[in-house]
Amino acid sequence: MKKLLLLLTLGVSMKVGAQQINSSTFGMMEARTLGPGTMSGRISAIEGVNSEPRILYIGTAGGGVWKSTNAGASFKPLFDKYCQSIGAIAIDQKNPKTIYVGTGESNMRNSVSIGDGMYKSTDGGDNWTKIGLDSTEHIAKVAIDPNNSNIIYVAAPGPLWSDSKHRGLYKSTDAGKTWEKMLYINEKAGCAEVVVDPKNSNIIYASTWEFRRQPFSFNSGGTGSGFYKSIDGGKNWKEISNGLPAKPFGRIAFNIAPSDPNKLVAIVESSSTGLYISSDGGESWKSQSAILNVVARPFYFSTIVIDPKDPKRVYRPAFEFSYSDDGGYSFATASNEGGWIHSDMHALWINPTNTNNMYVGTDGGVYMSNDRGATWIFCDKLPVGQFYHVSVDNQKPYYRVYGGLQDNGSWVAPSSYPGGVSNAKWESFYGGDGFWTQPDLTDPNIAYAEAQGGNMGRTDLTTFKSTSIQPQQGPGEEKLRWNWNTPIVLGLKNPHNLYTGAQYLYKSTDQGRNWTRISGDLTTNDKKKQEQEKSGGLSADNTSAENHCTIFTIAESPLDENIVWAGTDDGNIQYTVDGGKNWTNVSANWAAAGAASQSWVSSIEPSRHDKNTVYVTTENHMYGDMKTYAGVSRDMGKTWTKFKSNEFTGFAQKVTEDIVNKNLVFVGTEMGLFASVDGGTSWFRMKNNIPWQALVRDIKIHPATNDLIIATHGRGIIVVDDITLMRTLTPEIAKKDFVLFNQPDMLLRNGILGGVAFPPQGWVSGNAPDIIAIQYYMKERLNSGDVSIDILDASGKLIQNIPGSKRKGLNKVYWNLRGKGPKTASGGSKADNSSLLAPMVLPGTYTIKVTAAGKLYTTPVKVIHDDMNKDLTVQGQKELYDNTLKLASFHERLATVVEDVSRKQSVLKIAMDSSKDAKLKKAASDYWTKLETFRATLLPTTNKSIFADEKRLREEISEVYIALCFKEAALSNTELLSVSRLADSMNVTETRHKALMAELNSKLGSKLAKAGYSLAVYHSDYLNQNTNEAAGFTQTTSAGQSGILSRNFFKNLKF
Amino acid sequence: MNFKKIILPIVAVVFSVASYAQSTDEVITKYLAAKGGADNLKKIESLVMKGNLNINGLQIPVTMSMVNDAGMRVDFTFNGMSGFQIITKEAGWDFNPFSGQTKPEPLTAEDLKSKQDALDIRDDLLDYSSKGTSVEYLGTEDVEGTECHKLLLTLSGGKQKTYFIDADGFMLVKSSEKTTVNGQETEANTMYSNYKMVGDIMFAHNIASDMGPIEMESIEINTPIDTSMFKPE
Repeated sequence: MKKLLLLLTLGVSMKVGAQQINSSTFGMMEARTLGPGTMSGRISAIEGVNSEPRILYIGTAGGGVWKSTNAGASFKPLFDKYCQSIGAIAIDQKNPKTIYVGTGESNMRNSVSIGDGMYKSTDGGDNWTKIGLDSTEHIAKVAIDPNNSNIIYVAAPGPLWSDSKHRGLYKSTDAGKTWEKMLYINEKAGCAEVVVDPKNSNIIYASTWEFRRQPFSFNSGGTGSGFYKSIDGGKNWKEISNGLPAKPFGRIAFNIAPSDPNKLVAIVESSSTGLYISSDGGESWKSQSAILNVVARPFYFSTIVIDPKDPKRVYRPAFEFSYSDDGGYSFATASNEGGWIHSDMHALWINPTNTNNMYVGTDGGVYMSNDRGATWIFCDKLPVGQFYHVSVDNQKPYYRVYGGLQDNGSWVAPSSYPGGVSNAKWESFYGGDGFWTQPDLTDPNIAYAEAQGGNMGRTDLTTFKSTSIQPQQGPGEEKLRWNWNTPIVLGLKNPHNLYTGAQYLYKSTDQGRNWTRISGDLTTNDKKKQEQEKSGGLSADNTSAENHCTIFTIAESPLDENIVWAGTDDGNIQYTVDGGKNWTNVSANWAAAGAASQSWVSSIEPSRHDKNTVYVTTENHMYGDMKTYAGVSRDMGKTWTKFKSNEFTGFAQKVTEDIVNKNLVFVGTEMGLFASVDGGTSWFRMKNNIPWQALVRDIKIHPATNDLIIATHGRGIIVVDDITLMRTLTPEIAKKDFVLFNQPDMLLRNGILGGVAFPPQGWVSGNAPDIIAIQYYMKERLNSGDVSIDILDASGKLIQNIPGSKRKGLNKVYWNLRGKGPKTASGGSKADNSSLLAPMVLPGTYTIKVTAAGKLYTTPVKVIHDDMNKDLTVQGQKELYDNTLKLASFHERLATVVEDVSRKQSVLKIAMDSSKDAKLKKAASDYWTKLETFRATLLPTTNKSIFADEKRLREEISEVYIALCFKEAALSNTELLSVSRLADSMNVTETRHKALMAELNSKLGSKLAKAGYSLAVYHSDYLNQNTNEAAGFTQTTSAGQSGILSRNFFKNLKF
Repeated sequence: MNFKKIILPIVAVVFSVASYAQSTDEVITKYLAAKGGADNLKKIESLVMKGNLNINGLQIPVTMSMVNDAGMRVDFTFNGMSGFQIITKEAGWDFNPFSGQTKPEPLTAEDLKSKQDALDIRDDLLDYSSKGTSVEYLGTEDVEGTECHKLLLTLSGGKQKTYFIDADGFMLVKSSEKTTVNGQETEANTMYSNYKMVGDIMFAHNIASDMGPIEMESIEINTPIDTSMFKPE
């Protein structure tokens, strides 16, 4: 037994050993979600808890699952560790903490992502278990038998890009433990919808759908599409056809009337697509409305819902929001009276207890209606925007972020802002679907953007007027083929160069006013892949989303403007070294390294460190191949090394090399962000507030702030502020138990941004820290022992002490460049805040001394004057500092006086209360009152209300002291005079104090002592008793100067 | 004796340790042992913990006085003014003069109920089933880079707490409590560090909530406490 225990112990200690660099190495280098919630993103599922309709679960196209417990006022993410593409959500309404999520959205547009099966939670979404169907890729619906919580149906359309057996209708009879396929057509047709009769749950309806995408075409419809009914829980099926149009069908959206389950509505995609209704449980059907919103894009709009109580009220959220009061015969459309509602809708949940109340999911977030869908209110705190690309400029003090989003145009916002970057700070500057956006780095008022299919413009950011700059077809040229997501790119070497590409590459040196074609057709120009007008299947669909044989990525070498790389959607990797005169295609070499042949070139990144080095990602998911293809060539594409890692998940979208350290490389895929610190040899998944399987579409590193800026297709923009330490934290350093990093110089200023008095609305992101952190690394979390940071001045005097964090990896602690506040007079009816504050230190060299688990580490830090601040010279700063310290000394002198008065009063109070000598009692009482009258001139003693100011000497000192502590300008003449006025007041006070005490001692001291009441004894509980009687708290400072001084600061002091 | 029969389970155990597949009770036993042992925990009748709450550098002295299964009181002071909170099995009060309160105010029944589990000062996991608590092992999870066992506790009153226990040393690293007030679920996370022995028990001397860390200066076990302090007067 002993041996066994020994082995056990060894087993445990074996875990610790080789120190690898991974996400935990970077500890507190955590990401922030910039959002925004302004335009949000595509919503694929909404379900509410029937018994508690304020609880909502939202499934999104690329942002995971979110939960609201307040009817949409706020949301929290539940799926940060899991697949972000959500197809369906189901709540077990009998036990509403049990939630099922089917991953893989089934709104089968070109840009739809991929799922990895079913998930289940039994605690309202806190914890999730994966429960199978991993290979279905897309799930359209999860339905629970209302009478038996163990019976679950899953409608899986299955893979969009390939044949697969992993599709059809699945059923579990053990609450998701095992699955059985109940309805399966073939490898091309899956199950698109399932509905369980709420009154007789043996009756099941299901539609099957044959569909397929290729990179260059889409087909909806075929012999595999059908409409089925089972009356034995899915064992046997009968095809529904009576009254429906002739087959072949495409996608069929349908639903049942919960209050009258014989009534059904169905939108049947076919040669005569329209709405059909049945009132006999699907046995027979008749044709109803076929307005545009009913028949529009059946592959994309597959939602139709009947009111839970009223079988005649039918809702059709689609291109717009339509509703019918006559069972689908006629439809009206929602008004914009309550505010604009985003088009393109995919989910609707109606509160069954109050059917006026409902939530719709659109391509731009969630909206709530309280009037049966007539008007809508936007839920503005859901940051699930689907960016394609991101760019940054060089604005100060904070750079701006530019990006284009799926169905939501192009936007610009500051990367930080007073109060945080809120929805209101995002400005829309170009419409359509947004993709590439490009600030003109030579002109801060100009940005370029593109909408689908190459519609590009130059926008003046002062007026938001746009001018079209799209190159047009010239004589003798083939019709231009523009990708859905056409690149528009500035030169990395010469920012005056602007590039775009159809099948030809174009360059402009005059902001897009004129273009020069600098290549021939760089694609394979395969005519079989250019028949987009035939795309769509039963319903024509040609929106440029399937345009193919186009240029998809362009990059000018940061080292030589004559070197330009271009990658195409049909797999060509081409470069020129002479500004476009000659082109070389190296795609075969990339395939030779193990990449899929002619796979879509999603990104090319020429190195900033070596002309011959280039990185590439390609992806082949549109042929059903989800593998990660990313690699590097060191010889202009002749030979390639493909990056390999077991960590990789998802097809590759973007590779980025660090701008300083060539060994630091990032790869973004459809399912995660990965980093390598050894030039691509080993990789780790980046976590630390980044959703583990975020759909990463673009990555930028800001040249001035060293921020990593990530465009995600479903979680908005994510920023990791200042990744400098990712460049230097080597495996050798990571082996050490503790490392204190060298401290960069610190500018003497009170942060960068001011505060705001009114909190911004909607989604608000945090800001970049505006103080430089003290950073240290710990190999392991410190459970025993402490970390403490002392700041010492040049003479070695301790001026501040800060508790340190103790987490594994990188730790960050912030010193606000101040010392400790003065001791202030206590015992009044209000608290005073001056003790919380000290002036900023003077320029000089200080020492950071870290004590970690008993060991000492030190590093110097240079605090330097902020020369950009024209209001404050070095001399002015010294003067400000000296005067602020003078005021601090007044506080301390006043504290001494008040403490002495309180001590004496404590003795007098005891004498008043307990002496038997009436004369002594009276004398004690008189002197107590005399001292109290004096004390009442020094600090507030009476006011109880927090709204009644009582300004006494302490408050007078605080008023000036706090103003000066925050001041970043030279002392004013009145401030200077005020300091000398307060100096006089202090002297007068001390003189009066001395006189009073002398009088007390001489007149009463010996009498009191004789009676056993020594004035030298202090009855400490007197102070607290005294204050508790007259408690109240008023701030003595002006609002908004610092979070610590806000009126509500103590309000939340709860244990 | 078949040699293989002995070797195989040992190998299996070693491998299972490496992958942290542990049963609920194994984790709890190791956790209680690391804390000082069930027998020693059972001897705790009262605790007096004194420390400072650090809010953005501001030190607020805090004293917590607790009698097991009877009452707890938290006193805090700033600038010569003091406030407290009291929780007993029957009632609770808040007195926070800094927010303008002039006398102690009773806690709402909902608030009180959500806090009364704190009266179990020994350990939630000590003899948990006899207290009506159920525990579910949820595997391991990375807490700020440290691999932890995750235990979901459902207390007899329905309150749920998640314990994150360091997979190497079996100390509590983090706890997460979910409470529902006004129908709003709020999650309160607490981080524990700076473990030191006090008598026979390991106590975290740094307890950090969302409000800020409390750094303990002293912890006394079984110092007599006058239970009259659990009344607001």
